[in-house]
Amino acid sequence: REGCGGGGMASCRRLSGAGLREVLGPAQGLLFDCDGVLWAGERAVPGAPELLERLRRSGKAALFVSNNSRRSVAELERRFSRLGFRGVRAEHVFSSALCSALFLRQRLLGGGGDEGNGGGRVFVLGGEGLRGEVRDAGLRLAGEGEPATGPAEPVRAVLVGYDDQFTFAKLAQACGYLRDPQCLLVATDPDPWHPLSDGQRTPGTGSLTAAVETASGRKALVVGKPNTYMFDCIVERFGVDPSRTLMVGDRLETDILFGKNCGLSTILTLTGVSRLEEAQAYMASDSAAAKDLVPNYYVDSIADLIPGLDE
Amino acid sequence: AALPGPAPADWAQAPLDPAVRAVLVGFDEHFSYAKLCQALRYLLRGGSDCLLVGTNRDHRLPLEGGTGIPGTGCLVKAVETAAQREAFIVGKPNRYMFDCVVSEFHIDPARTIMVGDRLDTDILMGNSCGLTTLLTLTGVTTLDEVKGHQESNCPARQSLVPDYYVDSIADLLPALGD
Repeated sequence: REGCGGGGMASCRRLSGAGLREVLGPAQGLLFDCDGVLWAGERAVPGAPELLERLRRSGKAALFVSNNSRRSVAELERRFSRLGFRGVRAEHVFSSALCSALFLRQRLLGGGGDEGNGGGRVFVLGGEGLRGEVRDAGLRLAGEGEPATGPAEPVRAVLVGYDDQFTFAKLAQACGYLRDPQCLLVATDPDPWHPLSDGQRTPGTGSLTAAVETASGRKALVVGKPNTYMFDCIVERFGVDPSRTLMVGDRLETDILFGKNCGLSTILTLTGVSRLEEAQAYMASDSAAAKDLVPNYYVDSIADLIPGLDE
Repeated sequence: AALPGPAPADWAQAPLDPAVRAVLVGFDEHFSYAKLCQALRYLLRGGSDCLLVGTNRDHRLPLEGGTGIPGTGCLVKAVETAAQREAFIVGKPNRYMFDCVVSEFHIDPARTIMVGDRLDTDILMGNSCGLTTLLTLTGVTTLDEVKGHQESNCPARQSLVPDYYVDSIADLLPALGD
């Protein structure tokens, strides 16, 4: 029987028929990645909204964990609704933008609120969605609301996210702040690229982080999957039991490894980035690290999970 | 060529030049996400038929007064990470430039001295190519750094140690006859 995250290597078994009910039956909840799992671009994966509805009716929790740092969770809530998913609220959605803001709040403000010194400013390489999450966490952004005269507060963190307006000048500016060893370097996620709907790829936060790390000589603290911080955020808010929770994702190097790192059983869905052949290649590899990228189970699409739930 | 629209989804629709067979990353103070996008598109379209070349891997370009700006190495790393492939690096410490010099000037490494201020480029290349290496202290490297490498047990760090050093290349003058 498949272990839950500990012990031996996962075996990438197709989930279907009786196996589906055996695996889904005991589960209290599922964590879903979003891009490539629930939707691709502006199209919901066929059957995905129905799956979420059936999970709700079965009394199983559905939470969402995404490395995409472009959107605020409020925007994501609207996106779920627009694409036909009912009943998903912002509090169910854990994006790397939100979790990076929570992480910085903890580190710079001590997890409280308005401490006297304000905790310093954050230099954000990213769009308005990310910047909004950082502001909502009570932090001040470099370049906003600075005093007209006198010194501005020191920049205590550089946050690298998905930034389609990234430039050499911003890279140089980030490095300037990072010369202070007290200034944190944080990245929302490690993804090297993201798929576009026509099969092309667009560079991810990982490529921008590599530039900042090289220029500054520092290693970034990465908030997103496969690191476990976002799971800590989920546990703090909802208290999930890893042994009764399944992780569903499309990217072996982030979603499946995240599941493994958090002690969750994992299901790979084939509607996104990773191909079954890649999972099988990791399974056949001699490297110990490769074994951690093998999912316990796979499905062609999350719609295939529906028959595993009670009517 | 101008990009058709403000967002990456638009940029991915811009026509690609069918004749492009290589992406060359050099120092680019106008580097941007849009350019990184286009580089990635050419590399994905061409696969192994499109070269990825970097002029060098320097992290930092020192400026006057101890300041500096990001070096070409940062931009190379961004492209390599997005494309998930390694660039061919022309510059030091790789030996390609030395091979160019040798082929034009019939250099005998055993009778040639490499003079530089940077351990991980100048001195490493010189040592790898069988040259005698001479560090000058008028640039980025301090003697303490060299001693650190010398005293380490690590072979990679040992190859950063020059054969000789001078405070400045002017110190070579007395050795040269009239």
